[in-house]
Order: sequence, then C-alpha cells, then structure tokens
Amino acid sequence: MSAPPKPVPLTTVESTETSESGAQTLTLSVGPQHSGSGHMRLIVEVDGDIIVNVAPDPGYVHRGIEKIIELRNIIKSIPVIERPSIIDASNLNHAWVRSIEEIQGVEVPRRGQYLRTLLNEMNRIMSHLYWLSIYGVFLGHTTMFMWPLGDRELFIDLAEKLTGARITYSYLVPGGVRRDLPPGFAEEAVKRTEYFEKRLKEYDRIFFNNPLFTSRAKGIGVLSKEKAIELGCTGPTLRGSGVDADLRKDEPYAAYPELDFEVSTRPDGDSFSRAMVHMDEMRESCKIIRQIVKKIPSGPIRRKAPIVLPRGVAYGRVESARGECSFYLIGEGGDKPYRARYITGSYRNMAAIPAVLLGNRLADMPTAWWSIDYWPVEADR
Amino acid sequence: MAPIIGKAKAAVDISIAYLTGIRHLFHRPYTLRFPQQRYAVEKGYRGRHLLHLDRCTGCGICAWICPEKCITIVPRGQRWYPQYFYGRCCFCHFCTDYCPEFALEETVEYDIAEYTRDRLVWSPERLSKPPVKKDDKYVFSVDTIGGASQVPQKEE
Repeated sequence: MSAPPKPVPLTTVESTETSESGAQTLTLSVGPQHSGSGHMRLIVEVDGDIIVNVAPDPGYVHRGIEKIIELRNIIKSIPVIERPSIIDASNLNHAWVRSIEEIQGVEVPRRGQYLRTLLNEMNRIMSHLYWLSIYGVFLGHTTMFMWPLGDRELFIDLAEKLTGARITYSYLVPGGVRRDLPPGFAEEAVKRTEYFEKRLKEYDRIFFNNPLFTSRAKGIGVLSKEKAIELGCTGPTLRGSGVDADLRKDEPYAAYPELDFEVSTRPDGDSFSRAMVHMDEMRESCKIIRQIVKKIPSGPIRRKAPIVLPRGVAYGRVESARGECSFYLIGEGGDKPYRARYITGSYRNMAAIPAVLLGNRLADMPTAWWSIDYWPVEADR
Repeated sequence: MAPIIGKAKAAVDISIAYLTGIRHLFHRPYTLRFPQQRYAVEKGYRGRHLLHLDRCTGCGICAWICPEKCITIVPRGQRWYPQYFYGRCCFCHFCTDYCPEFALEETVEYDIAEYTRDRLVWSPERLSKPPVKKDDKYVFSVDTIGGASQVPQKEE
C-alpha cells in the first residue's frame, strides 16, 4: 500500500514547484476544453515527463439528474435518465425500470425481456464502437476514428427500425417495452452482425495487431487485480485486470439466463488488455443478438404497470457498457420517487484514473486514460 | 536473433494494416450529401407529430405526460387542441402512446429545423397537415460483397 498522493490545488493552471530534495516538478492542467480529456480536467504533475501525481477534476457537466427525477413522475423521468450517456441509453434505462418493477412487483413478459436484452446488446456494441473511435483518434489513427463511427450506423439503423428513434429510444417502460419487432428484423439483424464480425477482423488487422498501437498500449497503465478490486472498478476496466465479474452472469436479469455467452477477461491489466476486452464483448454481443432473434418467444411484450410508485425501497442494477449502473429508489406512494440514487459505471471507474496514470510518461496518458472508457457526462450525471 | 524476428513481424503487421486500409479506398461511402441526397426512414420512425383534429378531445393527457413541457393546450372555437413547441420536444412520443383517442401519430418527417424560434411553434392546424412528400430514397444497406453503404431504395 503506497502513500496516498498529495492533494493538488484545483486552481492551478500551470506552475512549477521545488520539493525538499531539490527536484522540480511541473503541474499541468489537461482540460476541461482539451480534446484529450473530454468534459473534465486532469491536473497532472510531472517530473520531467514522468507523471508523479494526478487529480481528476470532474463536475463540469453535472446536471442534477437525481434532483430532476424527484420532481417528475416515473415515466417522464425516462428521457432524462438516458441523457447522461445517450450512446448507452437503453442500459441506463433498464436499471431504472428494473428498480421500479421491483417496488411495484410487476413481472415483465418473456418476449418483453428478450426485446430489452436485444436493445441492450445493440447499445453495448454502439457504445464500445464510440469508445473505439475516440481511442483511435487519441492515438493519431484517423482510420480507426472513421471506421467505428461508420459501423455504428449498422446498429443505429437497426435500433431505428425497432424503436423508431436513432439514439435516445425511451423504449423500456415499467412492465415491458413499447414496440414489437418489425417484420424482417431478424434476417436484417443476422446479416448485419455477421458483416460486423468481418469488420472486427479488419479492426484487428489495421489497429489491434498494428505495432503502432501495440507498442504504445502493451505494459502501459497497468492496474493489478488487487488494485482494481480495492478501487471498486467495474465493467471492462475490472475484467481487463483479470477479474471475472459481470452482472449478466453473476446476477442474471432479463433474458440473460437463457442465453449462451462468455465473459471475457484478460489477465494483464494494461491498456491493451482493457482494449481487447471491449473487442471481445462486441463479438459476444453479436452472438447474443443472433441468439435472441432466433429464440425469441411469442406472447405479449408489455404488462400493465401502474404509474404510481408504492411505498418501498428497491435497488436495481444492470451491466451497462461501462460497468455496473444502479438505482437506489425510495417510493412513498405518489407518482414521483422520494429519492433516487443514480450511480453509473464511469463514476465507479473514476478512482482508477490516478492508478493507471501514475508512473507513466505524459505521452502515454491518452492510451492509459481512455482505455478506462471514462465518460465524463455519465460520471457527473 | 529474437530482435530480428520481432522487427520482421512488426514490418509484416504494418504492411497488413496498410493493405487493409488501401482496400477500402474503393469502398462506397457511408455518408450522404444531405439535402441533395435524402435518407428514407421507415414507417414508425418518431418524427414530428400528426394531429387528427376530428379525434382530439382536448383532454390534455399529452401535455401532462410530456417530459419537456413542450405541449400547450390552446382553444379553437368551442374546442381545445395541443400546440407543440419543437424547440423543446425530445421526440420520445409518450404523447402518442398515451393519447386515449389515437389522435396523435408519428410521421416520417424529420427535418423540421427553422430559421426563427416562432416558426418552431406548431399550431394545431399546422400539425394536422400530413407531411409533404419529399424525395427520400436512400436507405442503409448491407451486402456481403460491397459492404455497408447508403444506396438508393429499390423501386417497387
């Protein structure tokens, strides 16, 4: 257990200071308008070009969504809950409806569960593709920026056929889902996932086997298994450190118990491992989508659920693209919740940012930092 | 010996990466030249609303369920109808789902941007007109040889 890093003054823009031993360090402010940090700031202290101290400074895109939820009824909250991470909208929505259904005691029909799972897995692919495109452009690989963003259209277009909207679906409602499968959806889904798997092989050839990437990612930003558990990481960050933890297997919900898929883990815990976990998950999601359109049972898609939230407490959680997303919900008998605590995967993974950056060179910062898949908007909520 | 093998493997991997990229120089583009080339959305797309004036009773459930408070109920003679402010609308279409009289409907009209804020307020009369047919013909298509691209829709 190393000593905790000393606090960095948050007002610092750029300054030098001399320690007692005579070594000079430079404090840099990366963000909040920096293309390499997103809507947040990383205050980085460097000795030469070795990072000796990092302080994440989030909160620039805080919207007070927990308070907004308290002021709206449970249906009106759905579009708001999707907003923190619109590229992963249905997974966040799923956590919300799960916690509501737990309080209400409503059981969702099996076809509704399958449709929820279908959209969740499509969303997981879309979110990982978005992550991958930003990862590519962080490392100066413009082709890897264009290709995943283009291939996202495969699934955006598919989701549009299913839900009627391209990104913010508001598709999952308490009691089930809003629409049934359109005709011809199954064939189209199989065709597109098979084509997408071919594309993933091309991604491997152009990026993941490319020495320009591997030499920058292997052995960089190592997060050991013990450290990842200690920091409370989740999602691909945790699995990239060799921990086999996935809510879809550990606490199966929706249609996951009936589906056959693997949880991908990599033992090394470096940036390359975390990147490969994302790639493996996209392959598994393609398999899941094909299984769903094959096995989907017939029947109703939605059961009638009241718009009232009875008195009670519930904790609903799902495995979103960036890790575990959960709602702690307290109902008091009205149509609005008394309190809704909303925690997302990025928020849990924020603790890993200093851990992966310390001791690395400043030039390795984009590789190590973005491999965590930290989405500032989702973390700030 | 090992460094030489490593360098040779790196050279091969980089060449493969370049060849993979070069192959795609001849791929059809994913993008469209909007608005000359327009994307055709399917029926069921959640575009702007269509209001059936004869069915609407002016009950106001649409305004109650609207998460963005973009619907106002306005009087027209003896009756009341919803009026939409599309500057706020998030196109969740909960109003369409919750309408007990099926007076609201989704349309495929998705480009409703305007130059002024006033024009974004859609009166019941304007909402009741069906969307103007535009030359939407491009669809997203995947075929195993040519890959994924936007292609003109087949004539039926």
